Amino acid sequence: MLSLYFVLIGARLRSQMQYKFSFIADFLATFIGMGLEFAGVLVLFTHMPALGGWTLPEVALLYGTAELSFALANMTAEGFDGFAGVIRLGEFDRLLLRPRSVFFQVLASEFALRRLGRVAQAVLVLSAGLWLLRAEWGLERWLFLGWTVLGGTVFFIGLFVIGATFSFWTVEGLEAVNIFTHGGVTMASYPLNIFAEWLRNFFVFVLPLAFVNFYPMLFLLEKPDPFGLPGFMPFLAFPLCSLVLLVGVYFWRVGVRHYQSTGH
Amino acid sequence: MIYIALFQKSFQRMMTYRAATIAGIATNFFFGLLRAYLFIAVFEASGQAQIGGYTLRDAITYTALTQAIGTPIAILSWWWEVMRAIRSGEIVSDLTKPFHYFGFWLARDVGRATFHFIFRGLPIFLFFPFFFELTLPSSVTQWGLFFLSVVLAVFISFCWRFLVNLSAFWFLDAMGIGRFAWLVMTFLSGFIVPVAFFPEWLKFAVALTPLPAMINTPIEVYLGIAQGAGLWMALGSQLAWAIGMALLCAWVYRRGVQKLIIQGG
Repeated sequence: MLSLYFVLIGARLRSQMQYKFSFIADFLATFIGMGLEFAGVLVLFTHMPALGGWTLPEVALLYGTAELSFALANMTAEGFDGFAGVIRLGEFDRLLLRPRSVFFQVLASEFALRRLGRVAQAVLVLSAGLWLLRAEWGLERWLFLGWTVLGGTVFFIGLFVIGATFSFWTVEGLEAVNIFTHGGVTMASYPLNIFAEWLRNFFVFVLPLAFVNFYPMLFLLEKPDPFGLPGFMPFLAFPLCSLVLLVGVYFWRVGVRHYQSTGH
Repeated sequence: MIYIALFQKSFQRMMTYRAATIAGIATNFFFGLLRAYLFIAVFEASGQAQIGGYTLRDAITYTALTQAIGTPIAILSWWWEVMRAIRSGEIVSDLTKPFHYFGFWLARDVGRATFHFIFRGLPIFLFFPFFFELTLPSSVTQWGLFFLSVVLAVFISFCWRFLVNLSAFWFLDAMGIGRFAWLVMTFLSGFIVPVAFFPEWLKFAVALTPLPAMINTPIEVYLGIAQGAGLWMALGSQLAWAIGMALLCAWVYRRGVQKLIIQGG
């Protein structure tokens, strides 16, 4: 299964690399363009010393990890992001005929190399933050950082799967899923404590966005928890993020069973 | 008139996407909330009552307005149809039709923008007072000038997008250019952060471009930050950009059609 995945993705990558100029132009456009979004944060920081108690390098860490997880998830789960189109065109019936799980087929159907610009941008912001903080961490903290980014990626893949599953019921109005995906990454780019309590509660207790990077960063930067929750919270990050993906996969199965063709 | 018919058809076409409109309102409003809370935290941390002439209430109103007019002015969505028509060669059949190509797309875009203003912008704006207190224009004239400024902004944004689409005449794959132009527009128009918050050198640099005329000017007219001579300067420069960009579109379009080679048409 894994080798088949690499065969399929390899073919996608080769096809995307056929248009080298367009790939490079796209890469640069996304790289610089996403940088402009962080420029907004920089502009705001010319008017204040810290945001909700977080200094600029600390916010850069939040922003960098959130963006990196999101971009990696977007790259791998591109097939789910564009899944509504598959349903609308009635192409899903064909997937059902093949001797592999549909989940696997959708996952292996696309790998968006063009998101690499966003990945590079996130790495740049993250590195700048780490450099400005003069982070002198032991190996275990660096591993924890990597683990955090991986957890966040799993979380966002889970959200993309959940979003795609809705297209089994409706292909219109799917933009609302952006509230959780794009809205999620935007919220995770800033300290959670600046948002209103009801929003915060939703994103800590219902959709565990706080565990994508906020709690792990509190631990790495040795900051006190503004919500006064127990000290083991940062260590729940990866399990809770994985739970989102598991819920996504379960929901997906329900969706597939519910599927009615568009009628070809 | 054909352009009025095109306007109507485009408006009606948007009407059919009802669920998409509701989802769009929810998403734009949610982002507006996030951005409003961000500005509340910024003002709290800055310890100042005003930043660049904006009070906190102005800044919150700014987030409401940008989210509301972002879709009509097409900051939140882009549009590639002319680019696609050039690449596929479809443009040739349009060239034989008895209308002006620029006018054809403009009429359709104005139809779309009008729909978005009424059915997307207005509801988003009206939801805000349930959460925050907003600044309101002090007179009917100010409301009127705001609407005028939005109309000019839509027109300038259209010219900008049309120009970027025309780059497909020269570059086979102009998608990267387009994406870049869009992201530049998002930041430098003052959509993410008000231009008044920018450092001086950047403020000066963007003042030389048409970008602030797409978002920043209507908002400063609404908030009354542009006043007296400054107000007329702001609207005058918007008008000048509108005329200049339209002329540029016409010129670039003519050059593009001259060099157009259709393969196997």
